[in-house]
Amino acid sequence: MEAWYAHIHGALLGRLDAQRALYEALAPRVLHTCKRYFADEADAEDAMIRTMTTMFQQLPTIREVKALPAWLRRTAVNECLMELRRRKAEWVDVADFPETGASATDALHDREALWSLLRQLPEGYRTVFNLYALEGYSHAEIAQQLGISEATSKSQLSRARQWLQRRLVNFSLQ
Amino acid sequence: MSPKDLDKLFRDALSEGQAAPHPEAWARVAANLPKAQHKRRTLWWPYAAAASVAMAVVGTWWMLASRPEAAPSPQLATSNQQPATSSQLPTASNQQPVTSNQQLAASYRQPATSNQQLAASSHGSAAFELAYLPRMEADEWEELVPLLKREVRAEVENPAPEVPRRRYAQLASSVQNVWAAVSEYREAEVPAEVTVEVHVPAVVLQRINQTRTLAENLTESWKTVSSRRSH
Repeated sequence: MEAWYAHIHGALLGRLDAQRALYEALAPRVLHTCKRYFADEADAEDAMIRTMTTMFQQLPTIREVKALPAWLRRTAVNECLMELRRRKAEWVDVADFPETGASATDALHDREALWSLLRQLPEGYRTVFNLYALEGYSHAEIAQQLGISEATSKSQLSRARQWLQRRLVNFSLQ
Repeated sequence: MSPKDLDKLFRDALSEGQAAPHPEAWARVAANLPKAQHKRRTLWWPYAAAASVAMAVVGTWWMLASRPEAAPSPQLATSNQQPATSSQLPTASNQQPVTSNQQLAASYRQPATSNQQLAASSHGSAAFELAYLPRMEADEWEELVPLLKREVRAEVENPAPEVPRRRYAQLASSVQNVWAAVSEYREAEVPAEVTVEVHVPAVVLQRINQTRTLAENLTESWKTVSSRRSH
């Protein structure tokens, strides 16, 4: 039983305070998910806002309150992918992606360091790596979601891993 | 570091987490909030129950009114009905646990109390407790509605001239009472219990009681038959 369960009823009745409370409770998680997909924070926030808007519209149709976080995460990922597709993200190899010099991150905390590495990843790599490693999608699902072939998905993933590995070498946690 | 370890490293660190949105983001969500829904969930069964009770009352009344020669006098009807039911179910009335509803039903079967009932109904009032009407029963009543409707329509097309106008008004007020009670019940939103008082002519009430007894007898004989069949 999480604290925000109590606001569902009020939000369904259209009470603004309950809707606000529900937003305060759930938006940070959604924003975290979205931020993993975009280098630019404003893009992530746009996706979060669209996700929350969808949630409030779909709230009457959601039967199981416990399933709401998982539903939100799925919806957030879909929103991000839609935005990425709209921008026609290029699923090409970025072998000669310029070194940004941000790999010397040994002074940072693990989490922060990983976070910044993930956000430095080229867009195509980041998307596939996010979907596969963090959301647990299969290559078939990723291929379908992004409109690419499974082979492309696999190669993007392995290149993303290589890219990350190379920069992780400098880490103390290695 | 193997690819699996790499994935796990990132998953553990970044899969779940929270990030504080800008304060102005809420305004953008709030701008697109759906309109407030004031619609409450409709409780359908009080309507069904009320409608079927009303239809049953109207229907029986019409049946009685259209066939005045078939409508028996109260005393005659009970004396006719009593041996029939007691021969069908000789032990039923004594063995049942006494709930308010069944007590009422049982009292119709016994000659001593049925006179009291007649005395009570002769001044034209009886209480139907809708809350005691279980859902199954409401469904059964509801199935009767089309039939009764057809009968009512037939009667409206060929009205019986001998029905006094005063009785129409009485009947209409009974139906009105049912509706008023149901709408009160809905507004109060108390799911526990509602008592509807329906004032019906004694003859109609008696006919309803007869039908009820008949229905109970049928149900019990059906139960007997099906239990025998299952053995």
